[in-house]
Amino acid sequence: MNAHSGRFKALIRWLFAFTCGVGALHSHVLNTDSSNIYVVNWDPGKVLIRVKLPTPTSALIDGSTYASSFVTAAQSWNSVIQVLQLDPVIEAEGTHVERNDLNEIVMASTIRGEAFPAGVLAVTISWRLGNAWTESDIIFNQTVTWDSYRGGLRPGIRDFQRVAIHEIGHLLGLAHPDEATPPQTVRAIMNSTISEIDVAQPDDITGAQTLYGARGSSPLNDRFANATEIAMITGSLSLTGANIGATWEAGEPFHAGDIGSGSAWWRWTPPISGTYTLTTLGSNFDTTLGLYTGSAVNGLTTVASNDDIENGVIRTSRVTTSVTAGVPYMIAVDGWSGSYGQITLNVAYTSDNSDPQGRYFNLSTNTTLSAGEQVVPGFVISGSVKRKVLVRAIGPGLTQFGVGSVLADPTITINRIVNGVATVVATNDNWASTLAPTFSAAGAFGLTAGSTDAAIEVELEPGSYTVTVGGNTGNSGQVIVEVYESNPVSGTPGSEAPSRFFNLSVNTILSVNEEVVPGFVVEGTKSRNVLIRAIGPGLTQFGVGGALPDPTLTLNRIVGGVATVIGTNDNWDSSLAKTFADAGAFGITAGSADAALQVNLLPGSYTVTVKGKTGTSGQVIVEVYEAP
Amino acid sequence: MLIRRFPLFMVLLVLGGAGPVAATTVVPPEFSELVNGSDYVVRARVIAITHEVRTTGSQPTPYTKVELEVREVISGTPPSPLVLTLLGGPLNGSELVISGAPRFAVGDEDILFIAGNGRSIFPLYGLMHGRYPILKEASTGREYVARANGQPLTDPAEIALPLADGAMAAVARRVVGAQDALSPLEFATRVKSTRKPTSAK
Repeated sequence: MNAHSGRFKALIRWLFAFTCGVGALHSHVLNTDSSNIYVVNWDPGKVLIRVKLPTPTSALIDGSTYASSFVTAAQSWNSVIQVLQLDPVIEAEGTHVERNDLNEIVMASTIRGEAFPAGVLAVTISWRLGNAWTESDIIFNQTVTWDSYRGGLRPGIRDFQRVAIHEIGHLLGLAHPDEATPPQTVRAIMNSTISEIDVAQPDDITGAQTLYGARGSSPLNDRFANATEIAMITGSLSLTGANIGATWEAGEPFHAGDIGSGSAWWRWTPPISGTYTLTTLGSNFDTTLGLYTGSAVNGLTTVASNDDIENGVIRTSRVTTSVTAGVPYMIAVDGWSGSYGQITLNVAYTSDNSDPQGRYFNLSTNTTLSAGEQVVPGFVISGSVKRKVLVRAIGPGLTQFGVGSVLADPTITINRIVNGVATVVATNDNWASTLAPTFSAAGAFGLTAGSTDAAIEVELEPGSYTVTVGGNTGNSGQVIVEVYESNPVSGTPGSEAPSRFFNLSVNTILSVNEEVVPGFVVEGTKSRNVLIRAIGPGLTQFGVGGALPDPTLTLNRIVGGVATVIGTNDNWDSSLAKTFADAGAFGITAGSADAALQVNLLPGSYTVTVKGKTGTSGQVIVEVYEAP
Repeated sequence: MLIRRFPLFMVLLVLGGAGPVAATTVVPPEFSELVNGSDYVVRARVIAITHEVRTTGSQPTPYTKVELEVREVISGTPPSPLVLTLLGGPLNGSELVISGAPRFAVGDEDILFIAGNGRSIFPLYGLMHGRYPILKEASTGREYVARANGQPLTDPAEIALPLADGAMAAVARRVVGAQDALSPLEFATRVKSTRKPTSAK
């Protein structure tokens, strides 16, 4: 990288960071305990509030009194939240007493005889026991000139009601979004300073509903019978939900042995057998987690359960257990001893990119070549020992699958790439029938002896390779290029481990409406993190003219010949830049129209369909990397 | 557990924690108000945080004490040692919380505008408007002054803006990051030049 490009990349990184830091984060902030993770909220139900405010000496602008203005403020919150309702009761003017388990609203010139800090209009003083609020008092600064009105701020006169809405937000458990680090700009009545905002804003309401649920709502998967179905087609997934307002059902087990607060249910049928880890990491409260088999809530068999990942410290939950493909499992997430909140449920097949049994086994690409055109897939063998590789270019052999216009006589040239220089390693025109057992051993479909398909098995040093496939004597048609890990130099595939496919790629030119469909197989018993890219504009940095201006990619998982879309991308997300670097992929300009996707894949067969936007054509390289 | 939603570890965390989290509505001060309304202004590092309970009549109340190592007295005459007393903290398994008040941690280094220590529930002028963390540019190590939310402070006039508006103002001026922020020396110089003689306060 030269200094210029380094500075450019730094600028791009900075622009991204600055954008995120100032403009992109728009979010309420919730009060948490000292963990900074687990929220503090009120137990569900009614919270009695004693409104002990003075009577104004003259009529307020909006015709209210301080007390009635406060009640209106409380009711505005009640109208948007579900499991908690504030119950303000107007009493005679009085003072507040701390730690009497009463919520008192007063006006005073001091707090415990101490002054308000300069510029402070009101203070909310709250007591919490664990993660539950037990008392909140709000003290309005009596030295301030108060009134009650809507709209813009009036000089020297503070609007009591908007301050009351703000302070009640604190009572509920909301903090100041404008004090968050990194800085964020949020339109909210919960910002620390008084402004023209006189009612709770959408962000404020979202914050309150995060704590207490939205008015009129309850968890759809509260009851066992209404469990949310989990469709797992990648190696890992994260789901969100809540147990706010959830209930306990007769006969329901105590998850992780705890009485709980009310559970949310999911139904999950593992796609493949193996070891999975389920966690509630990311949830904002102290959870319990149970994994069961059984069809009735009062007749479940526990497979695994957990209260805390780390007792009393990491209070979310985790279980790791073996499960069987096709068996329906029931997952319950509850709150420990009355806790409730927002749930994140993570399900992951055991992932290990270093697992020698888990590797790319096969790369293929299916394309149609015009006369004189070539397709150039590539691959990288990592490690330190040689690897036998079987390369095939099938044209006539496709007719057995009903393919019509095939490339009549494909040819193969394998090149090793060192410092950008290609050296021919092997070539083949028509395959030798002696390779038939190798096809069978690699799991490749058979070919008619003497066909003009091309195939060759070669022993390759670790390094980068390309396979150039074209048609002999200017013919055209459909061809599939396949690269298999063949029997290794010694032992069984993967057993010796230190060399394996690391990166697979296909370089081709697409005509208008044409697509290229490379495929690959992930083998083994662990899921793998994979980076998939379709680079068009990013090729121009290498002097490529006529690049596909805006490629799109679609990743499919193939099971029983049926393709299921598990990811798509049009323009890549700049947050993947680090992944590119970590995977060893070349950098591309942030905001370019290249496509990229990072995904955790279960063992299985996959295809990547890459095409250009409507009416576009050009060169594109499709790449599959092991991602960190 | 005997106490609903109150595991034992919470007691330990609270006892060892950094004091009150912060609920308030504040009017941002003008820079001159901030400077001249403060009893003293110091650059200081937090070296210890402790808690104590004071009983008035029959009512015990928790306080948090923030012990500071003063690295520079920018204006006024602070006591030595300088210990801030803040309302809030743990008490018999519960915790008193003042929403909106800044939260200190050992090791924090700030320029602090202190007013009413021992007489006010939170002795920073304007709460979060009385605290300016000293941060370092990652690439150069240069120290700069930030607002309480980490937004680089490029001009003392920004202090009169709400925190969120300050961030927007920075964008509007095309501030490119911490390199444009005031250094502690520059900020201290502006404080000293704005401070009125005591007799004129």
